[in-house]
Amino acid sequence: MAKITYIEHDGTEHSVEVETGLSVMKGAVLNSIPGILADCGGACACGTCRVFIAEEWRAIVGEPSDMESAMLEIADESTPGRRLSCQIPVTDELDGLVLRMPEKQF
Amino acid sequence: MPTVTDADLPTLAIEKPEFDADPWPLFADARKQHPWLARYRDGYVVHGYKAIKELVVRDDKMIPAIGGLVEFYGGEGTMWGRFMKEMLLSTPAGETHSRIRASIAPAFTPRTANRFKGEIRQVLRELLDAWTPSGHMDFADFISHFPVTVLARLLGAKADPMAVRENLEVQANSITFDKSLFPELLAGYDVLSDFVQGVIRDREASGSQDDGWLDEMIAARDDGRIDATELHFLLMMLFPAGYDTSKNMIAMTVNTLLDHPEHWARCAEDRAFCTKVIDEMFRFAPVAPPMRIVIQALEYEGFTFQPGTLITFVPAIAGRDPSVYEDADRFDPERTQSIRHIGFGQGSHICLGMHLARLQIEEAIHMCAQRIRNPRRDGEATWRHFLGIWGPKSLPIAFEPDAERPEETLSEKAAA
Ligand code: HEM
Ligand code: FES
Repeated sequence: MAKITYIEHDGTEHSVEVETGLSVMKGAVLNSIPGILADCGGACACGTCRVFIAEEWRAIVGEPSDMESAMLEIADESTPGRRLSCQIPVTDELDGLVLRMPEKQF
Repeated sequence: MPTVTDADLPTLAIEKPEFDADPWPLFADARKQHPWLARYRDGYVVHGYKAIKELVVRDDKMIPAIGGLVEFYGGEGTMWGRFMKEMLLSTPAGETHSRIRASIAPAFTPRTANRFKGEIRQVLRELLDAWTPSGHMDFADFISHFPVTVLARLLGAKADPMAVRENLEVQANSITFDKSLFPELLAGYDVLSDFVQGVIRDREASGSQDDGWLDEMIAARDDGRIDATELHFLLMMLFPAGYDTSKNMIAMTVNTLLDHPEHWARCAEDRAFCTKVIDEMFRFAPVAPPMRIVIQALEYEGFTFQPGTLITFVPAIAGRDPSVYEDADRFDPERTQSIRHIGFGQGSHICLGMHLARLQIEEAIHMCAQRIRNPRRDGEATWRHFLGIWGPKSLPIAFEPDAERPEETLSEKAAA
């Protein structure tokens, strides 16, 4: 289990426990947290699970793969910490993770 | 649990022409009897937003239905039959489907699509130069030249894509279940197959162009992630999947904007607004209905759908679902209630070409709005079948032709 805090664009916070092995995207969907749509179900195909990782967590979460970066170009933005949440597996290391969600998925 | 066959449901003649021009009032009536489900000639039609979202992803109980056309036409044993049954959209979710999709996914990212912007604009420019001077046109006919030319150009095809275009028109009718079409369907397979073979052969001869697209798909074959037939069928499939859908969506948008001249004028000046218009169009009148066959009893909201049942999902009606959208019949690109449309499907089979499709459609609306000023109806539109890839069959318009606006002035204006 890892505690993850998902922050909506308007500042509303949702802190939930997510099982390790699931993706950060699944954690949001299973807890009905608005802001992550996940239209493709986690296949890195739709780009509707975009999040911004809080600065202090970026090094731990890591950088997107090449394929993920190509998908992230779905939105014309330069906000740092961008990731697709379906591509981040939840591990014990991520306990306490904080991330923000965009105003609109695209 | 009662099987759905015994349920008290409305029956809709959605195969009849009265659904083609304006299906919404007919579904609004049906909704009074049941909020998300109706019967039709060939099976069931799911039209509620929530029901589509929850059901279309049930890969454990349903498989794509398109391969079923092969039995209807008696096409087993033909290459057309194999193509219809084995192409990506017909491949049930699972290992093979995931492997093929993952192998070619890098060719279908927003990054790749964005790289094609110049080429897409060039095709539009050429078409608009040829079609606009007279001040009137059938917009549906005009735009039917666009997506197929873009695909052919992006693939570096040397052969004329217009033969393919005519053939795609024939293929689109296969959904009408008219057995006399069968010889044409077979002949059409050969045209498209030869075209794609030529594309692959030419690229093999010229070597990689580093385009991140066809090269990427050929590389997937060369290192064994997909086989030669999978590559061949995949490239073939891009044409039917990308042609009717994109052109009909653009024609549908123009049909809608003819009633909103203020939006049309703004689309010429404001590229970001075009994105909003298209997002709203995908809610308001999307054109592609996913279809599935039940393979294992499927239970949902008190009904059981038995194996063999055909289910058609209609996002065009879901976009007007009053339980989800406020004032659903009002077209408003500035809608603040952002409940995501389902016009590209959902789940494992979600549209592979959606990033390219969005870019093409948005660029088309932006440039057409600049070059086609003050468009108005010049005769009655005719409609394609609601069941199938829907949209205007003909859309006669009159307008004042104009010149393309240089992009710099537009961005300066937007910045000001
Ligand atoms: C307005 C344009 C388009 C619309 C509305 C659209 C819609 C759809 C929908 C609804 C599906 C899912 C069907 C299902 O679940 O049964 C789909 C799948 C697909 N689309 Fe599109 N599409 C469009 C453009 C394109 C373009 C331009 C391409 C390629 C160049 C493309 C390639 C595909 C492919 C390959 C699939 C099958 C994916 C799979 O089965 O995994 N589409 N499309
Ligand atoms: S859920 Fe589709 S890209 Fe992450």
